[in-house]
Amino acid sequence: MMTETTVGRPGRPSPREIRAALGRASTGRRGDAVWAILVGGCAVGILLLVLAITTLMVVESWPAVQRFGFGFIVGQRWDPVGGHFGALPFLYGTVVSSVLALLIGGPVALGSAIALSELVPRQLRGLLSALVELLAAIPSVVYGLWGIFVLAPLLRSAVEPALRTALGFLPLFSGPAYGVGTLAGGLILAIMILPTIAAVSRDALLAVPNDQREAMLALGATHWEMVWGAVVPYARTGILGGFILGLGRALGETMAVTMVIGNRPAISASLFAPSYTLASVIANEFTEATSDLHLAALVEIGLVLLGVAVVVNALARLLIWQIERAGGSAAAGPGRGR
Amino acid sequence: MIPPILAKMRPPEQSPLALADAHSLETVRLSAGYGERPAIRDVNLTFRPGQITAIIGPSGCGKSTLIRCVNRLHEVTPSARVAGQVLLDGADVYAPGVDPVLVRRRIGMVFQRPNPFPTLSIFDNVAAGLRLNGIDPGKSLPDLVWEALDRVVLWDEVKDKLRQPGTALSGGQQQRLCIARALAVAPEVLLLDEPTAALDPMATLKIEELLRELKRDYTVVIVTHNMQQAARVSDVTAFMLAGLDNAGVVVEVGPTHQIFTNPTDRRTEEYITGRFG
Amino acid sequence: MRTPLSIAWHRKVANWLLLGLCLAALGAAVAVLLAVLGYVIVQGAGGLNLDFLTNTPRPVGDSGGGMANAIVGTLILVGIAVVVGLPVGIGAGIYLAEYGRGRLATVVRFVADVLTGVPSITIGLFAYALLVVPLKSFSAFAGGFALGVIMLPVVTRTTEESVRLVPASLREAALALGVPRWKVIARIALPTALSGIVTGALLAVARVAGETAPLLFTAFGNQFWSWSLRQPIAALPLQIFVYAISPYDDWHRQAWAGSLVLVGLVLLLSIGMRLVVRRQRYGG
Repeated sequence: MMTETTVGRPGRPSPREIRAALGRASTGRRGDAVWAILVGGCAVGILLLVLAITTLMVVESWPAVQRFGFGFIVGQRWDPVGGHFGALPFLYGTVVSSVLALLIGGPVALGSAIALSELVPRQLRGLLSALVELLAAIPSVVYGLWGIFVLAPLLRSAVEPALRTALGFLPLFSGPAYGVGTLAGGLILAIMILPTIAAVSRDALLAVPNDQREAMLALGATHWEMVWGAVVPYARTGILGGFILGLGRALGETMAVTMVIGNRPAISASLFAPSYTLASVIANEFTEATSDLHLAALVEIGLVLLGVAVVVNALARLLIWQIERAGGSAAAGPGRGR
Repeated sequence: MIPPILAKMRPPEQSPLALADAHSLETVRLSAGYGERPAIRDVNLTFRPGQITAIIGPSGCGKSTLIRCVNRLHEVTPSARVAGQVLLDGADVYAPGVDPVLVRRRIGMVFQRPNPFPTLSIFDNVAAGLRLNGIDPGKSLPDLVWEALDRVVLWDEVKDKLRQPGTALSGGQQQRLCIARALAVAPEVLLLDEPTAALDPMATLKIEELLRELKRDYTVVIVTHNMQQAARVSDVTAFMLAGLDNAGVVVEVGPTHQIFTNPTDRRTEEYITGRFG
Repeated sequence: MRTPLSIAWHRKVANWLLLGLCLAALGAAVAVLLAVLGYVIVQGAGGLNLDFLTNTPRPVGDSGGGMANAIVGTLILVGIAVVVGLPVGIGAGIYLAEYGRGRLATVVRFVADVLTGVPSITIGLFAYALLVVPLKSFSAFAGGFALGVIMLPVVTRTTEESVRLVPASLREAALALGVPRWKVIARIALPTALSGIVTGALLAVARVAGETAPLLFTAFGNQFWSWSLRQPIAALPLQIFVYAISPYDDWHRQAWAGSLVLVGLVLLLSIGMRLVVRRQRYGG
């Protein structure tokens, strides 16, 4: 049978015609260039955005920076009416509440991660992980609402008096207990950063190869000794990254903290005392700023907050990148799909 | 010692070549690699129309790299480098100013794992080569799709499910779909990179039958790690081997019958009698 | 006499105790989740009625009224955020996936990751300086813009991951047909990655829908209906905040109801997205 390669059937293009059309059709040179510029532009846009954020914040805070210089960070007095702006109470409040959140939430998160990766049966792992991650989906303001009407009363009526009775000799647990205060702020933050730390730690633990576990068991270790002695150390970089990421989240949290921390710019040793964070003072005072200097000072606080949060987050990301490159699947980015 | 089964092979048929357009492909001192690592060195091969040329050799000998250089797919990998010439009807596809996109439109390729586009229907998969290149054959499109599917003996099996996704077929059917997709743009040369490696024996035989049909109209080059397949299907066989620097070279090339019954090079004989690879 | 093969009793106790603590930690996390959700549902249901969903806020002291304008306001703000953040985010994600090996790509990727950790109130300050100050007015656009900036890095990373997941064999098949590179991306890779991109976008939307801080001095809030982009606009989280810290019981009840609506919206998006992903995986 002779195949028709040169003569087309009536109405149907012959192979010759198809080849000619393909030879004439655009090769996409221009499309390639347009496309590359378009998406490249978007990528560069992100860089420009970050540049813009930093620049604008520096510009808007400049009057305050000029006026107070380094004293801004160590100044203890925040007095908008008198024109004195020192950010130390807020730095203190931010750091203390965040560290407290890490101290309370971190171990619970790590314990949950260990439970999820080592203890729960595989069928339940997905469901329980999803539940823990759901904690991250609840908006900050809802946590704040819950904090005001559920957590703070609980603290005031039951927890804080108990702590004072038991440990009241420590300055940590002295002073009047109103429910709202540093402890409430730390607890709420602990709940909010728990899912982050748990998810990253769980991924890091799951990435530990099984032969590590088996080797430990072969030495006669109990289950816990295997976990604590072999698995957790192997995953420690990822876990550390998770903790730092959680710290970064805690530093930047605004609404829930504002609603339960009492909002008084005073440095106190007691956990029962009210406090004030960098983010909270901006949230509370910005729309009612009494002077341009006040506004600039608040923006400078935002700048300080930005700096602290960025440094901490960059550190966390570097750590997590390190593990990702080393082959572990401890990804902390969104959309892990786990 | 030649295995008896290969001794039963008949000499290659003389293909009845009544084609007006026959396209020859020739590589001239073709070398390629990735960054510092060479993959092939100084390959000189001729692929003639109307016949199937098989390239055999152990894994790592550069067979795939070779044919990916032919349709300029190799250079898509970052750090890839190429030297030498590939002459399609006498014109070097690597000449400066030649657009690789146009080269790839003239040379079709079928891959080891069937890869129909999952977001397109069976019909759209076959038409993809034309449509994505901006060609709208209008009312003759169904005809063209029919012809391509008919050519690969898939039409009867899919004619009632043309709108279903391309992935809704069996492995062998998907591979034939990919061949149909390649044929729909009327290539001059058809390259197949281990096309039946992922398929079951029945599907493999069907595709080998198909290739014997296709060689009458195309210049067909098939890379295969399956010697028996090369012996069954091809007219000319080239044997490649990785040299001391890990770059693949052509050890021997000749009529398939001769390669498998009376190879010239000792290494060829060792390979086909199974002493290595 | 103790046999040499048994484990010392204190190690066994430690084993059970510490493993038990881990399980307890997990239990505590889930318990807190249920506690918060439980209160929101129980307290919120009490205030959730047709009145609430269809009315605007009443003046201070008057009972009744609702958050209808805030609910719509949130939808409008999210809509603006999507317009601002989605195209640039998807574009940057495609860039990172397709041209992702150079130094520029590494820098952009790192910066995007760090951007996800920037406190949202700082982004609110940025939007304030950029849009509220020059236009001398709080506006829905400024609020939506801030939310869009928050969405941007999240969408970028999820888009990059989704496009990367498209198998190389598909791209090669298209390239081998002589399709130009940009069409390989636009007509083959993107459609294949589409469900992943949409999932990432929904994830980002769920996150910004609940944001309050950046809206405090951009969208600012509004007691009445507002359809203009250049005027302040009400938003659900904002309204909840204002009501929650107020001294009025009726407003507290409405804050819970608003929380129920907000949490419902966010959970719907989060869980719905998970179901889509699961069906993707098992449906092929």
